[in-house]
Amino acid sequence: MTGTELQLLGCAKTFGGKTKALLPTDLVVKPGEILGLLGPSGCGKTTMLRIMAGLETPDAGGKVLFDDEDVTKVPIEHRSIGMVFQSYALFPNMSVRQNVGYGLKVRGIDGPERDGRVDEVMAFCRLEGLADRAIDQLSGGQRQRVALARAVAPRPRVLLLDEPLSALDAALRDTLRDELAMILRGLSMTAVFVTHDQSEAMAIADSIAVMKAGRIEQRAAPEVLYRDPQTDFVASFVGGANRLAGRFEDGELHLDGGTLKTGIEGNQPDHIFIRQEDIQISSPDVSALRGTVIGRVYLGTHTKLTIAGVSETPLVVSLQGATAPQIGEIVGLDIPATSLIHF
Amino acid sequence: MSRRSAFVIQFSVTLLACAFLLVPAILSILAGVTVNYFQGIVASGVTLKWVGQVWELYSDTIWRSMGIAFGCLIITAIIGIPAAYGLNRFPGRISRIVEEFVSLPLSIPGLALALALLQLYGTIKGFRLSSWFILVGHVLYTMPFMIRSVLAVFSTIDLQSLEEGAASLGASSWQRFKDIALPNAWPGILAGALTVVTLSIGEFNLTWMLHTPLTKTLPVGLADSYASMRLEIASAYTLVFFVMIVPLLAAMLWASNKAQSIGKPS
Repeated sequence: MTGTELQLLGCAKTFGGKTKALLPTDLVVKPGEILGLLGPSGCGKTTMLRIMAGLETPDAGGKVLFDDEDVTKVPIEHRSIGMVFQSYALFPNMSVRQNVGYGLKVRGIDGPERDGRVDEVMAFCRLEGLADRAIDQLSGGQRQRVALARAVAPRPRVLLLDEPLSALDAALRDTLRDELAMILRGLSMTAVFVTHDQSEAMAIADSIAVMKAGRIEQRAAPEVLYRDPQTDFVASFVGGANRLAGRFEDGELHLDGGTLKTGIEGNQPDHIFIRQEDIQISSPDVSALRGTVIGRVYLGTHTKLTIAGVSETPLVVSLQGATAPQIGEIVGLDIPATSLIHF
Repeated sequence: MSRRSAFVIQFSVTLLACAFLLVPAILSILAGVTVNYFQGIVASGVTLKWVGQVWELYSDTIWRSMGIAFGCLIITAIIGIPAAYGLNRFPGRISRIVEEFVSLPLSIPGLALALALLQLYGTIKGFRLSSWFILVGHVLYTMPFMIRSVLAVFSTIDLQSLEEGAASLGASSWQRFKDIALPNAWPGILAGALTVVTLSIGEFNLTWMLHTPLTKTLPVGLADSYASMRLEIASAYTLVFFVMIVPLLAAMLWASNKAQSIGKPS
């Protein structure tokens, strides 16, 4: 892989002397890696991105390295980064071509060289034929691609994207998410993007850092994060696993709706997690665990059931296949011990 | 009431309103080209003699007014645009206080402002007797209009994001100001310029206190001619004023409309 290695060493950020937006954090992004910073709003992910960009300086002691060069005190305009903003921040006084070429223009690259590189980047981001459009004549998806083309045209060392899809209509987002993932892979550039949407992070990133309250909870590849979460927060935030809380006794978890054989020995937790798709519906007569269907949403590929009476909070079950029980029905739940997540 | 009579009434009211506004202006302009106003334009005939006399007697006030308005525009632009940029860039209590402070001349009567200037600088003879003294008064009075109209545009375009975008692409702070802030503030700058020039050319209160017999401006000259000259000359003066200011207003209005269509926020 080509590209720059990005490192944060002990980077923290405190606003106004007391608000701790980011706790001291170490992070390495390998050359060419696409890292997703995932977390709810206010978790410090945007602050971290802005520290990487040079729009914020870390608290004393924190360091930002590009390869082995310390860029902590280098202002954003000299850091050679590309950034895609949440609002895109396209210049309304310039055409698409001028926007894309601006980074080259301020570096003093003129004439045929600039035109050539702008054409190349615009073709890569599928913007042919839009060169002379004004910004207000573009659709949301086109704007996003112009913002991306503008950011990568000067060949930055690191590409940073702040919620690149959140300004788009929900209907467009899925298509554009896949498209963005393809373009980013094609660039093979070190990239970090911020998102609050776990499916977006999964689709785009090589590796995801899940953040909560100013710190990284877990950093892993998407599959690992989904299959093997290390904290309660990661288990429930990524993939929306169900939390089952009750009383443990001899490897069995006693819940409001019955008992669950867990096969857990030794240190027994007071709660465990189970993924929505790992729960099977069966007959209430044979199952040791029962609940009542209180919600049923048919989504084509699967049906989402909400089941009350099993644990403190209603369970969400994602059920494949055509025959899902109706609202009000009492159902049995089969939960295989091998699918349980516990810490 | 039938539709026809409703139309007739509406049309008459419109016509009356127009007449109320236009007839005095037309009469005044006609008086300026009448040989003898008391005999009437039909009996005495049409002449450009009075316009010629106005030019002879007062052309210096016209040039001075244009010079002061132009100077005022340049100074308010040079100070006001960067000031608005700074106020927008560093929002906070101090910026708000500065903004209010700059706007203070709007709420103080021109006469009081003039009195303050006279008390403070009246003893510096060379300055007191020159047109620069009037220019300073006009700059004080028109500055808030430039700052506020530029500030208004800055606050609608989310300049901070645009500038961060430019900075991420490697633009220095001067390049960001020149390439991003300035072009996007163009509608505000033009609207401010229009207001500054018009206010400066028409300003009377302040100028009347600050002027000397050798530094009369157009409106002061106009008042002087109303008081001391025959009616035809004063009217011809009004005509000259009108001919000067209308094309100027039209040109600047056209320019600001044009700028508004390119500078639309995305």
